[in-house]
Amino acid sequence: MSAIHAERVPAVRGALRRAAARDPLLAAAGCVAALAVAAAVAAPLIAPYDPAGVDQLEVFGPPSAAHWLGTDDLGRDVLSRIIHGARPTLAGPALVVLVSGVLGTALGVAAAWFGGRTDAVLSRALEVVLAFPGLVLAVIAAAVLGTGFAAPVVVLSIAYVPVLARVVRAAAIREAHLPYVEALRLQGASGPTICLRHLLPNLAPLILVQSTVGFGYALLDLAAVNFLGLGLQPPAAEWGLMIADGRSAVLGGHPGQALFPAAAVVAVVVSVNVLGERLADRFGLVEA
Amino acid sequence: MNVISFALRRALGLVLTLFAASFLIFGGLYAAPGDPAALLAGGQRPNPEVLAAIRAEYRLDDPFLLQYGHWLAGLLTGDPGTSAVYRTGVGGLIAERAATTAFLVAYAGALIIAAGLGLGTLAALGGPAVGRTLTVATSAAQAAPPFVVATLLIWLFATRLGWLPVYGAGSGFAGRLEHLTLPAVALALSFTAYVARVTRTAVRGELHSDHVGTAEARGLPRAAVVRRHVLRNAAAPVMTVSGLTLAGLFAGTAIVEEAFGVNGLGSLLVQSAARQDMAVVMALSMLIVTAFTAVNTLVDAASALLDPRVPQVR
Repeated sequence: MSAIHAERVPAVRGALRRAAARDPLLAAAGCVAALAVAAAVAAPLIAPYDPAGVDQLEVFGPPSAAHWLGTDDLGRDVLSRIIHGARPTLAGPALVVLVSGVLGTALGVAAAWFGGRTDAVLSRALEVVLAFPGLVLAVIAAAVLGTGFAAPVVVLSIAYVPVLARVVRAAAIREAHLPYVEALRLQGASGPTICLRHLLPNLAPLILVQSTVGFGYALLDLAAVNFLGLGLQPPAAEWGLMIADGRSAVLGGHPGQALFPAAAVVAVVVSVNVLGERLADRFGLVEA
Repeated sequence: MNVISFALRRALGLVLTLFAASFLIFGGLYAAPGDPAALLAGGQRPNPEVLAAIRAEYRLDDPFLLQYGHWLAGLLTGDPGTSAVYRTGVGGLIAERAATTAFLVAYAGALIIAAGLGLGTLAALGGPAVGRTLTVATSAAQAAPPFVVATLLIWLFATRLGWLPVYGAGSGFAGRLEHLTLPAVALALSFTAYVARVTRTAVRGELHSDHVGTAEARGLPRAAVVRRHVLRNAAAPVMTVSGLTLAGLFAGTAIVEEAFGVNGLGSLLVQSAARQDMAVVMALSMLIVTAFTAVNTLVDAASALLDPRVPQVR
């Protein structure tokens, strides 16, 4: 065990504050993302009202002390609906990123490791999936499986596999030609051991960055599906659906019902993009 | 490898991909739960003779592969079946709306190319203040999806400004131009920001490259350096990205057409999916996939041919 030498002992106290001062954009993005996740996790505890609580006397109430973001066309509290809406709005893309991440990594590493025939077949299959824009695939899924939360999440999980698999494959091919892999092979390490214990940890930063970027895209795609009325149905609280629900209110001069959830979508996507960019910088990755 | 065999191989790859995609689309919608004959009959409880007649007419009792072949043959000969909702040929439904959507895509594409390239070049060549302002603006715009921009524009123009119509597609060239301006802007904004960012990065990269330094050392006027040495070299990556965003527009039309009540192919796809009008969904998804893949292949091939450094064998 070697001792750690430091010119100056870094103070733990205030480290976060100093980091925030160095990069205020990153700090803001982190705050927005943390706030959104907290809202999703603790929605029933935080939300001041029932998201489905109709109040005929409070229709289109302006922002006030009682209703910070006002009320919608049915007198429901907009802030409570945004807080509860964070659940499906964030859980959907999280599932998409998780499933497509596992599948894409597995296929990408497999294509790179086995090469030859396997690589050719996998790459061709991925190319076919790549021919479908994610949104179009989600619309087809709605026709086949009907509306709801699950169908668009499942098909987007598939639609997002090729991009990740291609990135992982390219990186894994580069990695597999490095001397350490050959050294491990000479030591008698098996293929799965090398892939799981050595290759994957080295690819992890790349996968993390790509997944962060993918989360933003998946959020936009899923919100768009709900906006089009092909995902969750009223009276569910989901940001894309809330925007669609608020369209007639917008025309009637009450924009809050649609524009507040729209602002939430943009805020979360911007912060996720900033986080992805900073992560890429930290790992020394170049945006393709 | 010569150019002809390269082009042939790309074309063959395109055809194979589309063939596989058509199989996936047909297979997916074939597997949908529910009886298509009952859907076509449209009634609450059609009697068995009617159902049998419909099954015979639409060849619903044929084996899967035969039905697929029949559909594919119809697609290739311009007869993609009959809509269960509209009770007319799908080809006619598409033909009625194709001009509107093509206009919208072309309009948005023109906005993206003009504004994206212009702003990106300006951000790279202008002063630091210009660059910073445009970077912030494009970052914000890039994260604004079409459905958010559309809602914002509808609010602004329907209740505040009233300069442009927020509903319908209009008729005639001037009417279309007027009605489709806001949908095109909503569709184009985030893509424009993306193209502007890529342009800025590409132009900046060229500005700092050795050959530009050499050109400046030779005493060439700045305008000539920018035109001949910077912009020309920055064109390749910018073209690739512009092509890819153009391909992405086809899917985005669904959102803005729905938002602005434009009766085009995108809104037809969404409404047909909601009503499970399978013949329309199949034909339109095949159309979008074809357009998307064809543009992607063209961009890919063009950039490979223009820049010999891009490896052609993949």
